[in-house]
Amino acid sequence: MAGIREVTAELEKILSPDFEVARTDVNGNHIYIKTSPNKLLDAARYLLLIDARLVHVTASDMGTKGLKVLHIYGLDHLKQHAHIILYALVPRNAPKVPSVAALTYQASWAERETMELLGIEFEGHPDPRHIFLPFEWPKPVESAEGEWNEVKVERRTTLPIGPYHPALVEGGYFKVKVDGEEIIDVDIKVGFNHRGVMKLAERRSFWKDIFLVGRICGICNTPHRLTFAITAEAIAGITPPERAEYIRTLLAELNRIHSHLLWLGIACELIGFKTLLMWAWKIREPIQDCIELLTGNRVHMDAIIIGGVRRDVSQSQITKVEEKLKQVKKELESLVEVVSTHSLVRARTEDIGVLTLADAKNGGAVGPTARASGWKIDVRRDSPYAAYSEEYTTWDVVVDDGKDVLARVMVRVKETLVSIDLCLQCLDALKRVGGPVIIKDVKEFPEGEAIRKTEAPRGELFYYLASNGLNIPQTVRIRTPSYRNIAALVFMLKGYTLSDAPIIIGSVDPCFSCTDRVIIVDEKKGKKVTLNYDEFMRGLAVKKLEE
Amino acid sequence: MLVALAVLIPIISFMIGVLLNFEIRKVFARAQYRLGPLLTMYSDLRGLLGFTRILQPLYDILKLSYKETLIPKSANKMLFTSSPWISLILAVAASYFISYGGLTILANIELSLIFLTYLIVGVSLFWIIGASASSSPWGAIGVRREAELLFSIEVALLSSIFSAALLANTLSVQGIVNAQLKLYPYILLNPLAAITFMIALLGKLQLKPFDIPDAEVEIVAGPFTEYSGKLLALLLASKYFLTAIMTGLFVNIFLGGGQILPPTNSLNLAVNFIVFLILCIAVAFIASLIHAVAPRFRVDQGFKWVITRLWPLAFASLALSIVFKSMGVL
Repeated sequence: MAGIREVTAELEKILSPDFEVARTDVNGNHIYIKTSPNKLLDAARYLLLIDARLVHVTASDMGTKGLKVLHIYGLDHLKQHAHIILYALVPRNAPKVPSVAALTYQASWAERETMELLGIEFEGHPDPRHIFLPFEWPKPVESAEGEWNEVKVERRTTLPIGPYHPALVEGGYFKVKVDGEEIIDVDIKVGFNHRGVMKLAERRSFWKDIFLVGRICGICNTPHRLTFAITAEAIAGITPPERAEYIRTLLAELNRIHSHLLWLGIACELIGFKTLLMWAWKIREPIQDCIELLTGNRVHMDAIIIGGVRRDVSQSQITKVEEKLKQVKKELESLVEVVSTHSLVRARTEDIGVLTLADAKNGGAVGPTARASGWKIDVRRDSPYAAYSEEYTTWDVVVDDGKDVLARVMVRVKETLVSIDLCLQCLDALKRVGGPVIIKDVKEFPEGEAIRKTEAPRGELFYYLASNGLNIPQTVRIRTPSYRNIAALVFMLKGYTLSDAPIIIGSVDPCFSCTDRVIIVDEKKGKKVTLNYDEFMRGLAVKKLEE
Repeated sequence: MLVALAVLIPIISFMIGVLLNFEIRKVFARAQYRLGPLLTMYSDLRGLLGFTRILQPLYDILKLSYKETLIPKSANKMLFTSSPWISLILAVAASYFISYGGLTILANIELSLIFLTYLIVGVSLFWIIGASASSSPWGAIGVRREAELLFSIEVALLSSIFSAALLANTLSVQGIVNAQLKLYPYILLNPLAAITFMIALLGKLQLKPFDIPDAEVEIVAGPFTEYSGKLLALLLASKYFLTAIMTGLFVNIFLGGGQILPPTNSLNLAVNFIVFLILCIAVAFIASLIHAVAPRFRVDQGFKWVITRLWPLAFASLALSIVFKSMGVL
């Protein structure tokens, strides 16, 4: 493909006279272009034609200036780091923008979200229903009656998979229409857990936010913190020390290993293979031990902060982690052999939930789901961050052409092995590279904005931060990988049987709390009581509550 | 004596069912690096929880019988509430037709095998009828799966049972046992039939890979979805009975019923019973190992597998028996 400059020149032709390169970032690879709202659609047509990915559509409230609608296009799978950020200001009293969702499905959820959060109307959106709010919620952003997509077929059973269903640990709702066992149509509703983390983050300082975003998702807490940290660092204009980069990579990869193993277990349970579930989770335990050894916590590492990492890694820790990783690698390899050769596992996963490359591109699949459809996108390779670029570590992107559930299993399993390799490389480097692990003199955040992405276990995790010079971010926008992959499930479910539905839904590793950006906390009623284990065993809970 | 036996046999059968269900759970758990129900309780909890949890499946039933029984408003109340009872009654009736190491009252009558096969079909049949009356979509899909499974498995089950009957030239359960005592256990003579029966047993007891009807991640609890409290306890009880009956039948028609001593005095009977119990545990052990290492079939795959693989095996076992018969080796 042509370089980012050629693309910009072409865009200038299309958009002129409403074309202005506002600023650039990452050595001129992130180009922010200001245009007018009406021209956004023309630009989208051209960019989608040259195979750009629409990373996210979002908007930022700029006060009296109006609402700033942003289209973030990723070209980094064609050329490293290349991104085009188109933005346009729309007036606050009648915010109207042409919809890109009519051109490409990947914008659909993002525009529905923006409709709800900021009240911008996307003209010509094919499916302008609520996404997080209940469908019955009244206007102003309501339109098209807000009903479930109805299918005009007589005598069919409608099965509610969710919001609470044994296959889904978290609250999501898949309205599945079946004819006998075959799935005819599917409609997805999320938002059962929405708590408004983005708004919450806009009211706290950068330093507090990093703890908040870590709690968006328990399983991939490190990628969230990492992405927030590198975005904030980009605004502040600081580079963390090399040793910190290695530790960040190490922690992110440990997070990936434990997340993939957790998923592998759940996937096995979804096809009724409870024994492998337990085995996979047994293998995961040493990884949790490593995480505890390195950071002090088993799940929420809370190790990455702006400017570096919170805690250094000692020589004895390196030795212990290396030992455990090598043991995990051996056990994992034997587990992989069972999974990949077991005839019943193959029968349940082969040619099931096929996502073609075209659907993956249109649906906006990311991460292992996209890679299992033969699409070689990986943020670690496309927009290297931390210690993923070639001068630090050597590794390969795992791609599979199978397009089915088995391919998604194999991609994740092979990625886990790659991650173990990466961890070992980082540990080796940590023996060599000395120096500090944190830059402490980060005092203030100048006015500015930045987008950054990382590869979370489930795929591309996107953050947009804007600062107006205070220590509180003006805008925080998060697009999680599951947000994209759950939307793409529509393409995978139709035509397969009900027995396949759980494993297909499971195969994208859905994380609804990522999608809804929540943490479940209910402190409304009653007092909070803290008990230790002994007190609990002696049945003191009731007594303490009565006091 | 007869009255005492009539009371004793269902209790024995039920307790064997409890024991075997404990075993299935324990083996399943140990294969997964879990503990499962504890055989010997931790010393500090013994005062509270008792010495052993070997009766855990029984405690499950007792707990359920304390719970509230909810009946869906839209369910057909009569069918919904009566089918667990009928299923349990059929299971109790079926338990009389098994020879517990020579301890029996109805296994030795003519045509007892025919009665038994009818009754064990009836147990699963009334699970289906009750679930179809529940008006729950999960129940409906569970019913469909259970019916498909029942239809395909039953053919194989009957073929294997009757290939044993052919070898013994009798339709009495005790008769088949006695015929084996004169010759060899039929597992040596017709191993194909034994394998078929073993696989059919997995299907009847809804163990993996045939636990299709109660695949909880897909259809919640399948046929049992709407059942709760006492009615669920009844269904579980009939399942325990079925566990004991199916393994007992396997021991009876393929392993010589465990009757190593002539049933002349009560000591010999007791020894025979213990051997029978050990054989039952061994059969259930194999079943639970398969349960532990296999994932679940998808419903169409399971159906297809049974028809394309198990049915030929079943018919082959029938043919093998006919060949033995016509050669006059028996």
